[in-house]
Amino acid sequence: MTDNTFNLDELNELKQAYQLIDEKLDGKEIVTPEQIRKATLKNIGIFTRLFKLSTTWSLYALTPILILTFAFSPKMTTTGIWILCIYMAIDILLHILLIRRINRADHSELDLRTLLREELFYNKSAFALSCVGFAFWIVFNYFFLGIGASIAMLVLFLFAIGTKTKFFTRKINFREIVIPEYKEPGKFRKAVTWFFLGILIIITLLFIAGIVYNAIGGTLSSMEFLARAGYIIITIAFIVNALFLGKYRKGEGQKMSKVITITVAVGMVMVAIPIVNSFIINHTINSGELSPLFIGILTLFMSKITGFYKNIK
Amino acid sequence: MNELQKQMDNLELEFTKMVREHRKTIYTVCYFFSDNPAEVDDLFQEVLVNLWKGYPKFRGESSVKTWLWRVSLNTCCAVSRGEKRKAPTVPLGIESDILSTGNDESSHQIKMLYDRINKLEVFDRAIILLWLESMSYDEIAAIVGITTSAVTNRLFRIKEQLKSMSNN
Repeated sequence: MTDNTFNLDELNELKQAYQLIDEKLDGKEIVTPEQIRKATLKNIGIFTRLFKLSTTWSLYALTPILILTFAFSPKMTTTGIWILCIYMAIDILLHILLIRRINRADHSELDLRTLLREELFYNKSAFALSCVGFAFWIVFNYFFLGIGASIAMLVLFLFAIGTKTKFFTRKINFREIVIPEYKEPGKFRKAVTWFFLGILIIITLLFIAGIVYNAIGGTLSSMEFLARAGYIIITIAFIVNALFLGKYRKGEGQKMSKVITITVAVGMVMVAIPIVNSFIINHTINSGELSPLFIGILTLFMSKITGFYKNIK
Repeated sequence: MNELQKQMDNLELEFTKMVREHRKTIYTVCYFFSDNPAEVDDLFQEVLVNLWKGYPKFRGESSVKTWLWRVSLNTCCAVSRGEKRKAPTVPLGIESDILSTGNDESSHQIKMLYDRINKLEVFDRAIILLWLESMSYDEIAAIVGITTSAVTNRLFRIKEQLKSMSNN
């Protein structure tokens, strides 16, 4: 049955009512060209939202790798840590400045063409900032940690780019919102998503295995073990949290959000204990040991991600 | 640069013309997906923005009408399901309550139709609107992105639901 042949009296009544709509709207102005132009002003809201989303994802992708970097980097020098701090500060500042520029600009008088150009500019800026950021991390990891960490960063970079360009989440017609009747859409995209996620999970597990091996072998002190385990817990919590972003956006997954926040808090305590311990014993903290403090601030910021995400309007 | 400007101007003119030609379709979709008439204005804007964003990429593989229905329904479904957060709005000022105001017979009938369709799930609303538009099952399937047999099953269920509303 491919045509509308299933007509019943009750339904015909509805059809007739529907036809009345056409008659009633006939000759009505409804919308003027000026109103159409005005409507496109909403683009501003959209690209602000997209930009914030892109920033969120940049930080999201960077934080786990930063934490892993610290967790597995006995080679990391104090100089390296300060380079990181300065880089992160500049990166966040640039993002904030760009967002402020978007919010402050008066777009009310712009025509469609200029609006479109502005939108393109903001999107390109967001993308360029992220690319520069990831390039920095790849080079940084290569010099400070070696080729392995650099490859891990590259994987994360590709994953984040895919996420930003909505490669993994793009909707194809209604397919994503229809649940039961038919085959799953976007199989290729799902496969790529799981491929990247799989690599990330394997890398993380290998790191964890390395740490446990060192701890059992006695090459790691209990305090070092505690701190590194804390870093790993936070990292995993972030990765899991990333998978739930879509649900948070729909106002779901609140329980998971709470579990993740608590997990991150536990990880933070584990990271903090060795610092306090070191301070009590040595009465001093060298600048290298300040790195967990820096990570802590970043972690707290990131643990607010759900709230941050909710506020994207 | 001037050439590009001209092209953009033409694009804008074409777009405005197209929207005004199909304004009734957009309005009808928005009307059936809003909880109250005031929201029609917001939805209308959201649809316009999405149409504008997609317009340069629209290659005419489907008819303008089909494309327009797809974008309008997609947008309205996403907003109704709360998947899309509303961006700050500039009041559009369209006449948002044209259909259900008035005491004439046609207004009452339209209100009755609105009340029934509004009781359906978001996705079912989209399908029944396309059916009311007298589109074939194949066309409906193409627009909503499900198989024709899925459309048949869905429509059967929706019609049963509507009939029971009528009996009640």
